[in-house]
Amino acid sequence: MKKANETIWMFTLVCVILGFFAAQVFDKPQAMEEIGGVTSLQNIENLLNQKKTLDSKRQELEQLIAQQERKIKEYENNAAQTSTHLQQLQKELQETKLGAGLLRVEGPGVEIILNDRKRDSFLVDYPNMINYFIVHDSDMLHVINELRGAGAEAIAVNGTRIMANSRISCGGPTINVGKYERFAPPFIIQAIGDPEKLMEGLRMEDSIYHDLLAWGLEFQIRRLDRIEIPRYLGDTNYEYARLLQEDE
Amino acid sequence: MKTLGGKVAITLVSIILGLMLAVQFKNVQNVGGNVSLQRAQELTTQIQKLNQELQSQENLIKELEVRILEYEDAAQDEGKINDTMYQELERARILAGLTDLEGAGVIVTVDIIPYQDWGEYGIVRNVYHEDLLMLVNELNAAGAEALDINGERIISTTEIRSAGDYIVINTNRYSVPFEIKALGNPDTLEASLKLLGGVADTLGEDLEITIRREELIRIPKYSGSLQNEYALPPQS
Repeated sequence: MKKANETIWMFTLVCVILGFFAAQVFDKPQAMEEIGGVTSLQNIENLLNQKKTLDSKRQELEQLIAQQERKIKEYENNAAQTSTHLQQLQKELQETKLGAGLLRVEGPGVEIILNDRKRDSFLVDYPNMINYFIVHDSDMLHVINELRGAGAEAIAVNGTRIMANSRISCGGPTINVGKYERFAPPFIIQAIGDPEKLMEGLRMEDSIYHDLLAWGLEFQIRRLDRIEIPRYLGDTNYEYARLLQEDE
Repeated sequence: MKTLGGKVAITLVSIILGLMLAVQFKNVQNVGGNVSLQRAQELTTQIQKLNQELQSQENLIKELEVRILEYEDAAQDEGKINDTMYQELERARILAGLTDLEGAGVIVTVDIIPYQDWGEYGIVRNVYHEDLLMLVNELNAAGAEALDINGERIISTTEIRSAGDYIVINTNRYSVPFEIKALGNPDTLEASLKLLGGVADTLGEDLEITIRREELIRIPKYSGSLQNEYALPPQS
Protein backbone atom coordinates (compact mmCIF):
# COMPACT_ATOMS: atom_id res chain seq x y z
CA MET A 1 0.00 0.00 0.00
CA LYS A 2 2.79 2.34 0.95
CA LYS A 3 4.64 1.55 -2.28
CA ALA A 4 1.56 2.23 -4.42
CA ASN A 5 1.14 5.58 -2.73
CA GLU A 6 4.71 6.52 -3.56
CA THR A 7 4.15 5.59 -7.19
CA ILE A 8 1.09 7.76 -7.38
CA TRP A 9 3.01 10.73 -5.97
CA MET A 10 5.81 10.24 -8.44
CA PHE A 11 3.33 9.90 -11.24
CA THR A 12 1.66 13.12 -10.19
CA LEU A 13 4.98 14.95 -10.09
CA VAL A 14 5.94 13.77 -13.55
CA CYS A 15 2.52 14.71 -14.88
CA VAL A 16 2.85 18.21 -13.44
CA ILE A 17 6.22 18.69 -15.11
CA LEU A 18 4.87 17.28 -18.34
CA GLY A 19 1.87 19.58 -18.16
CA PHE A 20 4.12 22.54 -17.56
CA PHE A 21 6.13 21.87 -20.71
CA ALA A 22 3.03 21.12 -22.72
CA ALA A 23 1.52 24.40 -21.62
CA GLN A 24 4.70 26.24 -22.61
CA VAL A 25 4.70 24.74 -26.04
CA PHE A 26 1.07 25.59 -26.63
CA ASP A 27 1.38 29.00 -25.04
CA LYS A 28 3.77 30.34 -27.63
CA PRO A 29 1.31 31.43 -30.34
CA GLN A 30 -0.59 33.44 -27.79
CA ALA A 31 2.51 35.24 -26.63
CA MET A 32 3.23 36.10 -30.22
CA GLU A 33 -0.08 37.91 -30.51
CA GLU A 34 0.51 39.84 -27.34
CA ILE A 35 3.85 41.44 -28.17
CA GLY A 36 3.23 41.87 -31.84
CA GLY A 37 5.18 38.87 -33.01
CA VAL A 38 8.54 37.46 -32.17
CA THR A 39 11.73 37.30 -34.12
CA SER A 40 14.96 35.44 -33.60
CA LEU A 41 17.90 36.73 -31.65
CA GLN A 42 19.99 36.02 -34.69
CA ASN A 43 17.96 38.49 -36.71
CA ILE A 44 18.49 41.16 -34.05
CA GLU A 45 22.19 40.43 -34.03
CA ASN A 46 22.32 40.88 -37.79
CA LEU A 47 20.53 44.20 -37.51
CA LEU A 48 22.84 45.36 -34.73
CA ASN A 49 25.86 44.48 -36.82
CA GLN A 50 24.44 46.33 -39.80
CA LYS A 51 23.85 49.38 -37.64
CA LYS A 52 27.39 49.22 -36.27
CA THR A 53 28.85 49.15 -39.77
CA LEU A 54 26.71 52.08 -40.85
CA ASP A 55 27.63 54.03 -37.73
CA SER A 56 31.33 53.62 -38.35
CA LYS A 57 30.85 54.55 -41.99
CA ARG A 58 29.06 57.68 -40.93
CA GLN A 59 31.98 58.66 -38.75
CA GLU A 60 34.34 58.06 -41.63
CA LEU A 61 32.27 60.28 -43.90
CA GLU A 62 32.10 62.99 -41.25
CA GLN A 63 35.87 63.02 -41.09
CA LEU A 64 36.08 63.15 -44.85
CA ILE A 65 33.72 66.12 -44.91
CA ALA A 66 35.80 67.94 -42.30
CA GLN A 67 38.91 67.25 -44.35
CA GLN A 68 37.34 68.59 -47.53
CA GLU A 69 36.17 71.69 -45.74
CA ARG A 70 39.66 72.42 -44.48
CA LYS A 71 40.91 72.11 -48.04
CA ILE A 72 38.28 74.49 -49.36
CA LYS A 73 39.02 76.98 -46.62
CA GLU A 74 42.69 76.84 -47.50
CA TYR A 75 41.89 77.63 -51.14
CA GLU A 76 39.71 80.50 -50.08
CA ASN A 77 42.33 81.86 -47.73
CA ASN A 78 44.96 81.63 -50.47
CA ALA A 79 42.63 83.38 -52.88
CA ALA A 80 41.96 86.11 -50.34
CA GLN A 81 45.64 86.99 -50.40
CA THR A 82 45.67 87.74 -54.12
CA SER A 83 43.36 90.76 -54.10
CA THR A 84 41.35 92.93 -51.76
CA HIS A 85 38.21 92.10 -53.69
CA LEU A 86 38.63 88.39 -53.07
CA GLN A 87 39.55 89.09 -49.50
CA GLN A 88 36.21 90.83 -49.02
CA LEU A 89 34.37 88.03 -50.78
CA GLN A 90 36.05 85.47 -48.56
CA LYS A 91 35.05 87.36 -45.45
CA GLU A 92 31.45 87.57 -46.56
CA LEU A 93 31.46 83.90 -47.48
CA GLN A 94 32.66 82.90 -44.01
CA GLU A 95 30.09 85.08 -42.31
CA THR A 96 27.25 83.75 -44.43
CA LYS A 97 28.32 80.15 -43.90
CA LEU A 98 28.38 80.88 -40.19
CA GLY A 99 24.81 82.14 -40.30
CA ALA A 100 23.68 79.26 -42.48
CA GLY A 101 24.90 76.65 -40.02
CA LEU A 102 27.56 75.35 -42.40
CA LEU A 103 30.44 75.85 -39.98
CA ARG A 104 31.37 74.17 -36.75
CA VAL A 105 31.08 76.74 -33.98
CA GLU A 106 32.09 77.15 -30.38
CA GLY A 107 31.26 79.63 -27.70
CA PRO A 108 29.65 80.14 -24.30
CA GLY A 109 26.11 79.02 -23.63
CA VAL A 110 23.92 76.56 -21.80
CA GLU A 111 23.47 72.83 -21.84
CA ILE A 112 20.12 71.31 -20.95
CA ILE A 113 19.46 67.74 -19.98
CA LEU A 114 15.84 66.69 -20.48
CA ASN A 115 14.68 63.35 -19.17
CA ASP A 116 11.52 61.49 -18.19
CA ARG A 117 10.41 61.45 -14.57
CA LYS A 118 12.28 58.93 -12.47
CA ARG A 119 10.32 55.81 -11.58
CA ASP A 120 9.01 56.73 -8.14
CA SER A 121 6.06 55.69 -5.99
CA PHE A 122 3.87 58.46 -7.40
CA LEU A 123 4.43 57.26 -10.94
CA VAL A 124 3.73 53.69 -9.93
CA ASP A 125 0.47 54.74 -8.28
CA TYR A 126 -0.78 56.55 -11.39
CA PRO A 127 0.22 54.34 -14.29
CA ASN A 128 -2.43 55.77 -16.61
CA MET A 129 -0.98 59.26 -16.25
CA ILE A 130 2.36 58.18 -17.67
CA ASN A 131 1.88 60.59 -20.58
CA TYR A 132 2.43 63.54 -18.28
CA PHE A 133 5.74 62.21 -17.04
CA ILE A 134 7.65 61.72 -20.26
CA VAL A 135 9.40 64.18 -22.54
CA HIS A 136 7.31 64.81 -25.65
CA ASP A 137 8.29 66.20 -29.02
CA SER A 138 6.27 69.33 -28.25
CA ASP A 139 8.24 69.86 -25.01
CA MET A 140 11.50 69.77 -26.92
CA LEU A 141 10.08 72.10 -29.56
CA HIS A 142 9.12 74.58 -26.84
CA VAL A 143 12.51 74.40 -25.17
CA ILE A 144 14.20 75.11 -28.51
CA ASN A 145 11.79 77.96 -29.18
CA GLU A 146 12.52 79.38 -25.72
CA LEU A 147 16.25 79.27 -26.48
CA ARG A 148 15.71 80.99 -29.81
CA GLY A 149 13.68 83.67 -28.08
CA ALA A 150 16.54 84.21 -25.65
CA GLY A 151 18.98 84.85 -28.47
CA ALA A 152 20.59 81.47 -29.09
CA GLU A 153 22.88 81.65 -32.12
CA ALA A 154 23.39 77.92 -32.62
CA ILE A 155 21.44 75.00 -31.18
CA ALA A 156 22.09 71.25 -31.23
CA VAL A 157 20.09 68.31 -29.90
CA ASN A 158 22.22 65.30 -29.01
CA GLY A 159 24.88 66.65 -31.34
CA THR A 160 22.61 67.37 -34.31
CA ARG A 161 22.59 70.97 -35.52
CA ILE A 162 19.11 72.47 -35.57
CA MET A 163 18.33 74.36 -38.78
CA ALA A 164 15.37 76.49 -39.81
CA ASN A 165 13.55 73.49 -41.23
CA SER A 166 14.58 70.83 -38.72
CA ARG A 167 11.49 69.04 -37.57
CA ILE A 168 11.01 67.75 -34.03
CA SER A 169 8.43 65.00 -34.13
CA CYS A 170 7.20 62.02 -32.21
CA GLY A 171 8.67 58.64 -33.12
CA GLY A 172 6.91 56.40 -30.61
CA PRO A 173 9.27 55.95 -27.68
CA THR A 174 11.80 58.21 -29.40
CA ILE A 175 11.86 61.74 -30.82
CA ASN A 176 12.79 62.43 -34.43
CA VAL A 177 15.11 65.38 -34.81
CA GLY A 178 15.74 66.82 -38.25
CA LYS A 179 15.56 64.61 -41.29
CA TYR A 180 17.67 61.71 -40.11
CA GLU A 181 18.11 61.46 -36.38
CA ARG A 182 16.04 59.62 -33.82
CA PHE A 183 16.84 59.89 -30.13
CA ALA A 184 15.67 58.31 -26.90
CA PRO A 185 15.89 60.18 -23.60
CA PRO A 186 17.91 61.70 -22.04
CA PHE A 187 18.05 64.56 -24.52
CA ILE A 188 20.94 66.97 -24.41
CA ILE A 189 20.13 70.36 -25.87
CA GLN A 190 23.05 72.73 -26.32
CA ALA A 191 22.76 76.39 -27.21
CA ILE A 192 25.45 78.98 -27.83
CA GLY A 193 24.62 82.56 -26.95
CA ASP A 194 24.74 84.98 -24.03
CA PRO A 195 24.54 82.50 -21.09
CA GLU A 196 22.90 85.09 -18.85
CA LYS A 197 20.11 85.77 -21.34
CA LEU A 198 19.63 82.11 -22.14
CA MET A 199 19.21 81.25 -18.44
CA GLU A 200 16.83 84.13 -17.99
CA GLY A 201 14.77 83.16 -21.00
CA LEU A 202 14.45 79.57 -19.89
CA ARG A 203 13.30 80.59 -16.42
CA MET A 204 10.82 83.21 -17.54
CA GLU A 205 7.46 82.91 -15.84
CA ASP A 206 5.62 81.44 -18.79
CA SER A 207 8.49 79.18 -19.82
CA ILE A 208 8.02 75.46 -20.36
CA TYR A 209 10.74 74.97 -17.74
CA HIS A 210 8.28 75.42 -14.87
CA ASP A 211 5.68 73.16 -16.50
CA LEU A 212 8.07 70.29 -16.91
CA LEU A 213 9.53 70.69 -13.43
CA ALA A 214 6.01 70.67 -11.98
CA TRP A 215 5.40 67.27 -13.53
CA GLY A 216 8.61 66.00 -12.04
CA LEU A 217 10.54 65.68 -15.27
CA GLU A 218 14.27 66.11 -15.21
CA PHE A 219 15.28 69.54 -16.54
CA GLN A 220 18.87 70.43 -15.73
CA ILE A 221 20.43 73.63 -16.99
CA ARG A 222 24.17 74.16 -16.91
CA ARG A 223 26.08 77.27 -17.89
CA LEU A 224 29.16 76.47 -19.86
CA ASP A 225 32.00 78.71 -20.97
CA ARG A 226 32.70 76.69 -24.02
CA ILE A 227 30.30 74.56 -26.03
CA GLU A 228 31.08 73.03 -29.37
CA ILE A 229 28.31 72.55 -31.92
CA PRO A 230 28.89 70.71 -35.20
CA ARG A 231 27.92 71.99 -38.61
CA TYR A 232 24.80 70.86 -40.39
CA LEU A 233 25.59 67.56 -42.04
CA GLY A 234 22.67 67.05 -44.36
CA ASP A 235 21.49 67.85 -47.82
CA THR A 236 21.78 71.46 -48.81
CA ASN A 237 19.90 71.12 -52.04
CA TYR A 238 16.43 72.52 -52.50
CA GLU A 239 14.09 70.74 -54.86
CA TYR A 240 11.17 73.13 -54.86
CA ALA A 241 12.53 76.46 -53.70
CA ARG A 242 14.55 78.47 -56.20
CA LEU A 243 15.93 81.96 -56.33
CA LEU A 244 13.31 84.54 -57.10
CA GLN A 245 13.52 85.54 -60.75
CA GLU A 246 13.17 89.29 -60.94
CA ASP A 247 10.83 90.14 -63.77
CA GLU A 248 11.78 93.16 -65.76
CA MET B 1 1.28 -6.52 -10.85
CA LYS B 2 0.16 -3.19 -9.64
CA THR B 3 3.73 -1.90 -9.29
CA LEU B 4 4.64 -3.22 -12.73
CA GLY B 5 1.76 -1.26 -14.27
CA GLY B 6 2.95 1.82 -12.45
CA LYS B 7 6.51 1.34 -13.68
CA VAL B 8 5.37 1.00 -17.27
CA ALA B 9 3.30 4.11 -16.97
CA ILE B 10 6.16 6.12 -15.50
CA THR B 11 8.54 4.86 -18.18
CA LEU B 12 6.09 5.89 -20.87
CA VAL B 13 5.56 9.33 -19.37
CA SER B 14 9.31 9.80 -18.94
CA ILE B 15 9.93 8.99 -22.58
CA ILE B 16 7.34 11.53 -23.67
CA LEU B 17 8.76 14.09 -21.27
CA GLY B 18 12.26 13.48 -22.60
CA LEU B 19 11.09 13.86 -26.16
CA MET B 20 9.33 17.10 -25.38
CA LEU B 21 12.39 18.44 -23.60
CA ALA B 22 14.54 17.56 -26.59
CA VAL B 23 12.13 19.19 -29.03
CA GLN B 24 11.93 22.29 -26.88
CA PHE B 25 15.69 22.70 -26.60
CA LYS B 26 16.18 22.06 -30.27
CA ASN B 27 13.58 24.65 -31.07
CA VAL B 28 15.28 27.19 -28.86
CA GLN B 29 18.67 26.42 -30.37
CA ASN B 30 17.37 26.77 -33.89
CA VAL B 31 16.07 30.28 -33.55
CA GLY B 32 18.58 31.31 -30.91
CA GLY B 33 15.86 32.57 -28.64
CA ASN B 34 12.87 34.72 -29.32
CA VAL B 35 12.84 38.49 -29.15
CA SER B 36 9.99 40.89 -29.54
CA LEU B 37 9.41 42.04 -33.08
CA GLN B 38 9.11 45.62 -31.88
CA ARG B 39 12.83 45.76 -31.14
CA ALA B 40 13.60 44.51 -34.63
CA GLN B 41 11.32 47.10 -36.18
CA GLU B 42 12.94 49.86 -34.16
CA LEU B 43 16.36 48.74 -35.37
CA THR B 44 15.15 48.51 -38.95
CA THR B 45 13.91 52.11 -38.88
CA GLN B 46 17.18 53.25 -37.38
CA ILE B 47 19.06 51.50 -40.14
CA GLN B 48 16.84 53.07 -42.76
CA LYS B 49 17.48 56.51 -41.29
CA LEU B 50 21.21 55.88 -41.14
CA ASN B 51 21.15 54.87 -44.78
CA GLN B 52 19.36 58.07 -45.69
CA GLU B 53 21.84 60.07 -43.68
CA LEU B 54 24.78 58.35 -45.34
CA GLN B 55 23.20 59.11 -48.71
CA SER B 56 22.93 62.79 -47.91
CA GLN B 57 26.47 62.85 -46.55
CA GLU B 58 27.71 61.28 -49.73
CA ASN B 59 25.85 63.94 -51.69
CA LEU B 60 27.50 66.59 -49.57
CA ILE B 61 30.90 65.04 -50.18
CA LYS B 62 30.32 65.04 -53.93
CA GLU B 63 29.28 68.67 -53.71
CA LEU B 64 32.44 69.54 -51.83
CA GLU B 65 34.51 67.55 -54.30
CA VAL B 66 33.14 69.63 -57.15
CA ARG B 67 34.06 72.77 -55.18
CA ILE B 68 37.59 71.51 -54.64
CA LEU B 69 38.00 70.62 -58.31
CA GLU B 70 36.79 74.05 -59.29
CA TYR B 71 39.30 75.68 -57.00
CA GLU B 72 42.08 73.46 -58.31
CA ASP B 73 41.02 74.28 -61.83
CA ALA B 74 40.94 77.97 -61.15
CA ALA B 75 44.44 77.80 -59.66
CA GLN B 76 45.88 81.23 -60.28
CA ASP B 77 43.05 82.56 -62.42
CA GLU B 78 41.55 85.28 -60.30
CA GLY B 79 38.40 85.57 -62.39
CA LYS B 80 37.61 81.88 -62.04
CA ILE B 81 38.28 81.86 -58.32
CA ASN B 82 35.97 84.80 -58.04
CA ASP B 83 33.19 82.89 -59.82
CA THR B 84 33.63 79.84 -57.66
CA MET B 85 33.54 81.77 -54.45
CA TYR B 86 30.58 83.75 -55.61
CA GLN B 87 28.62 80.58 -56.36
CA GLU B 88 29.44 79.23 -52.93
CA LEU B 89 28.34 82.47 -51.37
CA GLU B 90 25.04 82.26 -53.21
CA ARG B 91 24.35 78.75 -51.91
CA ALA B 92 25.19 79.76 -48.36
CA ARG B 93 22.93 82.79 -48.65
CA ILE B 94 20.02 80.64 -49.79
CA LEU B 95 20.54 78.27 -46.88
CA ALA B 96 20.85 81.11 -44.39
CA GLY B 97 17.57 82.61 -45.57
CA LEU B 98 19.18 85.75 -47.00
CA THR B 99 17.57 85.51 -50.44
CA ASP B 100 14.03 85.79 -51.75
CA LEU B 101 12.79 82.42 -52.95
CA GLU B 102 9.93 81.22 -55.08
CA GLY B 103 8.38 77.89 -55.98
CA ALA B 104 5.45 75.57 -55.41
CA GLY B 105 4.00 75.03 -51.97
CA VAL B 106 1.06 75.77 -49.70
CA ILE B 107 -0.39 78.83 -48.01
CA VAL B 108 -1.99 78.26 -44.61
CA THR B 109 -4.12 80.94 -43.01
CA VAL B 110 -4.94 80.92 -39.32
CA ASP B 111 -7.63 83.19 -37.92
CA ILE B 112 -10.02 83.31 -34.98
CA ILE B 113 -13.61 82.15 -35.35
CA PRO B 114 -15.67 85.34 -35.06
CA TYR B 115 -17.48 86.14 -31.85
CA GLN B 116 -20.99 85.58 -33.20
CA ASP B 117 -20.23 82.01 -34.25
CA TRP B 118 -19.37 80.91 -30.72
CA GLY B 119 -22.95 81.04 -29.43
CA GLU B 120 -24.31 82.93 -26.49
CA TYR B 121 -21.78 81.88 -23.87
CA GLY B 122 -18.86 81.26 -26.12
CA ILE B 123 -15.49 82.88 -25.57
CA VAL B 124 -13.41 83.52 -28.65
CA ARG B 125 -10.30 81.32 -28.72
CA ASN B 126 -7.26 83.36 -29.68
CA VAL B 127 -4.35 82.09 -31.74
CA TYR B 128 -1.52 81.02 -29.43
CA HIS B 129 2.14 80.86 -30.32
CA GLU B 130 1.98 77.08 -29.81
CA ASP B 131 -0.44 76.84 -32.71
CA LEU B 132 2.00 78.50 -35.07
CA LEU B 133 4.94 76.52 -33.71
CA MET B 134 3.05 73.30 -34.29
CA LEU B 135 2.05 74.24 -37.84
CA VAL B 136 5.60 75.26 -38.75
CA ASN B 137 6.98 72.07 -37.26
CA GLU B 138 4.43 69.97 -39.11
CA LEU B 139 5.30 71.66 -42.40
CA ASN B 140 8.98 71.06 -41.69
CA ALA B 141 8.29 67.40 -41.02
CA ALA B 142 6.57 67.25 -44.41
CA GLY B 143 9.73 68.54 -46.08
CA ALA B 144 9.14 72.28 -46.30
CA GLU B 145 12.25 73.98 -47.67
CA ALA B 146 11.50 77.57 -46.75
CA LEU B 147 8.77 79.21 -44.67
CA ASP B 148 7.50 82.59 -43.66
CA ILE B 149 4.80 83.83 -41.31
CA ASN B 150 3.26 87.17 -42.26
CA GLY B 151 6.38 87.94 -44.25
CA GLU B 152 8.84 86.98 -41.50
CA ARG B 153 11.20 84.41 -42.93
CA ILE B 154 11.74 81.48 -40.58
CA ILE B 155 15.47 80.96 -40.09
CA SER B 156 17.33 78.75 -37.66
CA THR B 157 17.21 81.34 -34.88
CA THR B 158 13.61 82.48 -35.39
CA GLU B 159 11.49 82.46 -32.25
CA ILE B 160 7.69 82.33 -32.21
CA ARG B 161 6.76 83.63 -28.76
CA SER B 162 3.70 85.13 -27.23
CA ALA B 163 3.98 88.58 -25.71
CA GLY B 164 0.66 89.73 -24.35
CA ASP B 165 -1.85 89.94 -27.16
CA TYR B 166 0.82 89.65 -29.80
CA ILE B 167 3.02 86.95 -31.14
CA VAL B 168 6.64 87.90 -31.61
CA ILE B 169 8.42 86.50 -34.66
CA ASN B 170 11.99 87.58 -35.37
CA THR B 171 11.50 90.21 -32.64
CA ASN B 172 8.61 91.81 -34.55
CA ARG B 173 5.04 91.72 -33.24
CA TYR B 174 2.13 90.22 -35.12
CA SER B 175 -1.51 89.42 -34.45
CA VAL B 176 -4.30 87.64 -36.31
CA PRO B 177 -4.80 86.79 -39.09
CA PHE B 178 -1.65 84.78 -39.67
CA GLU B 179 -0.52 83.55 -43.06
CA ILE B 180 2.09 80.84 -43.25
CA LYS B 181 3.71 80.21 -46.62
CA ALA B 182 5.77 77.09 -47.20
CA LEU B 183 7.77 75.98 -50.22
CA GLY B 184 7.93 72.26 -50.87
CA ASN B 185 5.97 69.44 -52.42
CA PRO B 186 2.39 70.81 -52.29
CA ASP B 187 0.85 67.31 -52.12
CA THR B 188 2.94 66.22 -49.15
CA LEU B 189 2.58 69.52 -47.33
CA GLU B 190 -1.18 69.58 -47.75
CA ALA B 191 -1.64 65.93 -46.88
CA SER B 192 0.43 66.10 -43.71
CA LEU B 193 -1.64 68.99 -42.36
CA LYS B 194 -4.96 67.45 -43.38
CA LEU B 195 -4.12 64.08 -41.91
CA LEU B 196 -7.07 62.59 -40.03
CA GLY B 197 -6.64 63.87 -36.48
CA GLY B 198 -3.69 65.97 -37.63
CA VAL B 199 -2.89 69.57 -36.86
CA ALA B 200 -5.55 71.08 -39.12
CA ASP B 201 -8.19 68.85 -37.51
CA THR B 202 -7.19 69.64 -33.94
CA LEU B 203 -6.71 73.37 -34.44
CA GLY B 204 -9.66 73.53 -36.82
CA GLU B 205 -12.04 72.85 -33.95
CA ASP B 206 -11.33 76.24 -32.40
CA LEU B 207 -9.77 78.26 -35.18
CA GLU B 208 -10.45 79.11 -38.76
CA ILE B 209 -7.80 77.32 -40.81
CA THR B 210 -7.52 77.22 -44.57
CA ILE B 211 -4.93 75.38 -46.60
CA ARG B 212 -4.35 76.39 -50.19
CA ARG B 213 -1.98 74.81 -52.69
CA GLU B 214 -0.15 77.19 -54.99
CA GLU B 215 2.07 76.69 -57.98
CA LEU B 216 4.05 79.84 -57.37
CA ILE B 217 4.67 81.29 -53.95
CA ARG B 218 7.19 83.96 -53.08
CA ILE B 219 8.97 83.94 -49.78
CA PRO B 220 10.88 87.01 -48.67
CA LYS B 221 14.38 86.95 -47.26
CA TYR B 222 15.21 87.43 -43.61
CA SER B 223 15.18 91.14 -42.98
CA GLY B 224 17.43 91.25 -39.92
CA SER B 225 21.18 90.90 -39.91
CA LEU B 226 23.02 87.67 -39.21
CA GLN B 227 25.83 88.64 -36.91
CA ASN B 228 27.01 85.98 -34.53
CA GLU B 229 28.45 87.38 -31.37
CA TYR B 230 28.94 84.21 -29.38
CA ALA B 231 28.86 81.25 -31.77
CA LEU B 232 32.10 81.55 -33.73
CA PRO B 233 34.30 79.15 -35.68
CA PRO B 234 36.96 77.53 -33.50
CA GLN B 235 40.22 79.48 -33.54
CA SER B 236 42.81 76.93 -34.56
